[in-house]
Formats: sequence, C-alpha cells, structure tokens
Amino acid sequence: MGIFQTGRYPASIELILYGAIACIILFCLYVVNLNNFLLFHSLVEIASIVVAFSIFVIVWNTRRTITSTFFLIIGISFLFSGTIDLVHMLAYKGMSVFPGNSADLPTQLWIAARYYQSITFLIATLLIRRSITKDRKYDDSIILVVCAAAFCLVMTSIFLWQNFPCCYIEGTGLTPFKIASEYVISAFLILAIIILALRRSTFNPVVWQYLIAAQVFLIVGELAFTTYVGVYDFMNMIGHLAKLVSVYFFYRAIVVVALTHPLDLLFSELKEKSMALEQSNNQLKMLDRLKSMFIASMSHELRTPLNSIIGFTGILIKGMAGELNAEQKKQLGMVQESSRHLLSLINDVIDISKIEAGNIEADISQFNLADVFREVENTFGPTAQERGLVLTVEIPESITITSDERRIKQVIMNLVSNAIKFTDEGRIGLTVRQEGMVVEVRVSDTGIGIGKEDLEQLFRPFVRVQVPGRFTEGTGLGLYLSKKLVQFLGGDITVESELQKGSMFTFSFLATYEKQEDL
Amino acid sequence: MTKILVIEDNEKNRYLISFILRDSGYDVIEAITGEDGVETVIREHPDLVLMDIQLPGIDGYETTRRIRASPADDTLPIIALTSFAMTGDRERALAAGCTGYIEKPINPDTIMGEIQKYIL
Repeated sequence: MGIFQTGRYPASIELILYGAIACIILFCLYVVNLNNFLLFHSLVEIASIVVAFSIFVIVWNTRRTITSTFFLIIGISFLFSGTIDLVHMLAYKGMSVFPGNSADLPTQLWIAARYYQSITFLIATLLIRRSITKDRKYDDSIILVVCAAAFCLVMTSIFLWQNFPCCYIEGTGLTPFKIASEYVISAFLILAIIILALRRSTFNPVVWQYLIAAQVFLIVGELAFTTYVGVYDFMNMIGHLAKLVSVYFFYRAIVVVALTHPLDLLFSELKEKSMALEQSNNQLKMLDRLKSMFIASMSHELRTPLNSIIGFTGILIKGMAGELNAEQKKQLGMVQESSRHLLSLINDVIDISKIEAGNIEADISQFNLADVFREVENTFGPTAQERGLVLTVEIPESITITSDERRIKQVIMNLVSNAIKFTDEGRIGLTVRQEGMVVEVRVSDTGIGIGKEDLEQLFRPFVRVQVPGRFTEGTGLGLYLSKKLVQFLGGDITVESELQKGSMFTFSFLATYEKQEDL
Repeated sequence: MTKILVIEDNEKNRYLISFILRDSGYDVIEAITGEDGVETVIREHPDLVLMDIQLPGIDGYETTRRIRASPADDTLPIIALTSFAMTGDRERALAAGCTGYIEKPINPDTIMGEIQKYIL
C-alpha cells in the first residue's frame, strides 16, 4: 500500500502532485500573510478548523466500524480542539468579536487548544489496543462526554472564572507560562510519538506514517511559537502553517482508518469469498457430473444380468424349455413384468444421468411424424381398447422432421401411456400442429386429472401423484425424463388439467434440431 | 445346416441366444471375444453372425470392421446386439458394417424375425 494510493497514478507521481499542491497553497498563504496577517490567520485557522470538524464527522459516523479506541478519542477530541481554535480565531486582535482587544485571550485559547490536543493524544496512545468498557458499546458516548466536560472546564476557566494563566502581556510579549507550556505540550507530543513508535505494529504502516508526520508538524509549530515576540511575526506564521499541515495528516490517517481501509478490507473479503464460492461451485458441478457418469455406468452394469433374466423368462414362458402349467406361466409372467419394470427404471435413470452429465448426443435423422403417430396408434390401440377407451390419433398428412426420432417417439409414448393409465372412461386424443419451425404435439385425456398442488410437482423426479384407491406401475421418472428430453431437443412440455375432467399435455420441439447450449 | 456364430462375452446371454437358435434348428458356434470371433469367421465360414457390441477388448464395432476387412464373404449378415442406449448405436453399428440390429433384452420372436430376414 503506497502512501497516496488512490490508484489512478503511480504512488511517486501522486506524492509529487500532492506535495506541489501543498507548496502552492502554503506559498499563497505566505503571500497573503505579507499583505494582511489577519486575513492569513483567519484563512489558516478556518482551513484547519474545517479539517478538524471533518475528522470528527468522519469518525463519528463510522464509529461502528472503527474498533480502535485510539482513533475514536482522536476523532472526537478534534471537535473540541477545533471549537477552541474557532473561538481563538474569533478572539484574534482585529476581529472585534470579543470586547477588549487584548492579545492575551487568543493566546490563552491557543495554548488551551494545544493542551487539549496533546493531552487527548497522549491519553489516546495510552489506550491503543484497549477499550474503555468491556463490550465497547458505550465507549463512543463516554469519550464524547469526557471530552465535552474537559472542553467546558477549559472554556469556563478562560471566560467565566478567568483563572487561566496569563499568556501574553502587551509590550512585554509572551509570559513564561506560555513559553513553558509550549515545551510541556511538545514533551507530551514527543511522549505520544514514542508510544506510537513502540506500538507501531498495531498500525497500518501508512496510517502510522501519517500520525507521526502529524505529531512532528504539531511539535514544529509549538517550538516556532516559543520563539516569536509579536503576534504578527514570521515564526508565528510558521507555527500556524505547521498546525495546518499537522491537521491535514491527521485527516489523511483518519480517512484511511475509517474509510479506505475498511472498504478495501470489505472488497478483498468479498473478492475472496466470491472466488471461494466460484471454486466450490465448480467443484460441485464436477461432482454432479461424476455422479451422473457413475450412475450411468453402474446402471449399464445392472442391465446385463437383468437382460438375461428377462430373456430366460421369455423362453420359459414360451415353453421352449419344456411345457409349463398355467400357474407356472402366470408366475413367470409376473417375473417378466417386474423385470421389465426394473429395466425401464434403469433405462430412465441412464437417460437422465446422461442428460445431466451433458453426455448426450442427438441422433438426428429425417422422418415423417405421421409414421410415428401410426406406430403409436398400433402400439397403444389394443391396450386402450382392452380398457374400454377410445384412442383417437389424428394422423397428419405429412410433417417432415429433422430431429431425434427415437426420443420424440419416447416422449409421445410416455405421454400416451400415462394418459391410458390414468383414464377410466372416455377418450385419449393425440394431435399435432405445426407453426413455422415449431411442432406442437398434444395428448389429451378424459381421465382423473391432476390437482393444482400436484401440477407444480409433476415434472420433478420420483414424484408420483398419489391417487386414493389406485395403484399404477411407474418409475416416477417418466415426466421428468420427458421434460429433459424435450428441452434437449429445443422445446418444452406444458400441462393443463382439471380434477375429474382430464389432462392435456402439450409438448413442442423444433422441426429441425438445433444444438442447445447449457441445459 | 445353417451355421450361426454368436459372439458374446456374457456366459448366460451366450447360452440364451444359442439355446433359442438351436431350438429353431440352427447349427450354433460360439466366440467369447472379438479377436476370437474374427478368427472363427475366417475358419468356420458361418452363414450369419450375431455380434454383441459391448465386448471386452475390441468391441463389436471394431470386430465387425475387422471381419469386413478380412477375406470373409462381404455379404455375410452381421446382426448387432446392443443394450438400450441413447446415442446412435444403430447408426454406429450400420456404419461399422453390420447388416441388422437387435436391442436387448433378447426375445425369441424378435431374434428369429431378424435372422429370417437374411437366411431361410
């Protein structure tokens, strides 16, 4: 972290820039001083008062983030030392605000302000890394009240009791008390610097440099004041300018502590967290893929023995291995049915895992949807008839599709087989219409329908709508898989349903397949 | 007698297929691996091959390609046996040189139906 690290320019260029601006300002003030000391004094004091109040405003409003008692004391004390300085400026000879035109009052106020500053700094350095109360909850208020009380005491002593020692005598100049005080104040400040130096490790290096610079300039100012004779002479000007520079460095330190640093901290924490999140997110995605690939390959292994169970059962039922009696046939039929159910479950799981692992490729060919409709009619016509249902398939003249025939067939068959399963009387309808590039297939039934709350769950895996007094075989994966397949083919499935009236599933897909990104 | 070669690594499936074929009166010879299958084709001159796609070592596609590249009769029917799969197994099988395609689980009717397309 550079000294002036606002970031737009290299630190050294900024340092030179700031230094140049500071020199120009100080030189301008010097020129003003040559012509009109009162104006110079007012400008310098107003500038340092504004900065002092700014420090207080910043610290007070960020007191929840500033955890250091040191900076709380420094920041709050500036409100009061700034106020004393304000009164000092107004009391200056020639300002004609206070009655009597003595140079003693402003000097008293100056000394009071410097005592106030140096003592609060010293106390602040003693409280580095400490807190006033255990939970720090009322520390800010306690500091404010104590500082205010000290301020009132000083002001009362100067204005009301008038027992504050005399600092300037017209004709004679500075009193020994005033000169001694400047040394005492300097001693306090040097002590504060020593403690700061010992506690260097507790500070941000930049802040520490600012604090030391601020104190050094304050001491320079104090020592300048020990030497001057008249309130208008050169050393007086140096003292005032040094104080202005000092308060500026305090301001820089506070800005870093209260604003820049917490924000940097916040941003770097945020960045770290978002990077960690991204990392764990990527890990999760990878794990999810691995999981899907694992399930796909495991399911594949499950299929081999299952295929031989189904195959041998088929041979036995056909009587190829010897004649069976009716009961044996019936039971083997049950074995076969269960095995086929298990196989379709495994196949669905494999399909879903492949889609989820992104391990799926469309098997694109050109075909006529009318043929698919015919095949569906042939496959389900007899089943529907057995259940006393009418299956109406509106076979289109010719709809040429360039897509994955097998999967489109799979979805249609799944929807039609569901419709037959959940319809006790009435009809099942299969229709299609084409609008531009989009083909819309609709399967409607006059079945038991689906309740509103179940509709939302319908396309989730392993969700099976419970119908009282009804058990139908199924995997609970059919609709979930159908939705995934249709999305893979660039379409979607929607459903409308009313209990006891029937359901209508509509799925759309592109007549010419286009690869879908990011499913 | 019509001779059919069954190339299938799984013992039970091999037995199942052979059983169905023998029941229908065919002469059945067996091979367990792809390499074994290519050699048997060249040595025994079967009239038809039933080829499992998922074989250890060289798979059914590669075995088919090797048979096609061998001196064996180019018109030899090779029927692929695959498990249900989503990617274009059938296209891949046909591209590798297979003549037909049957999906597992094996059903006596489908297997006989497919075979009778090529041999009487």
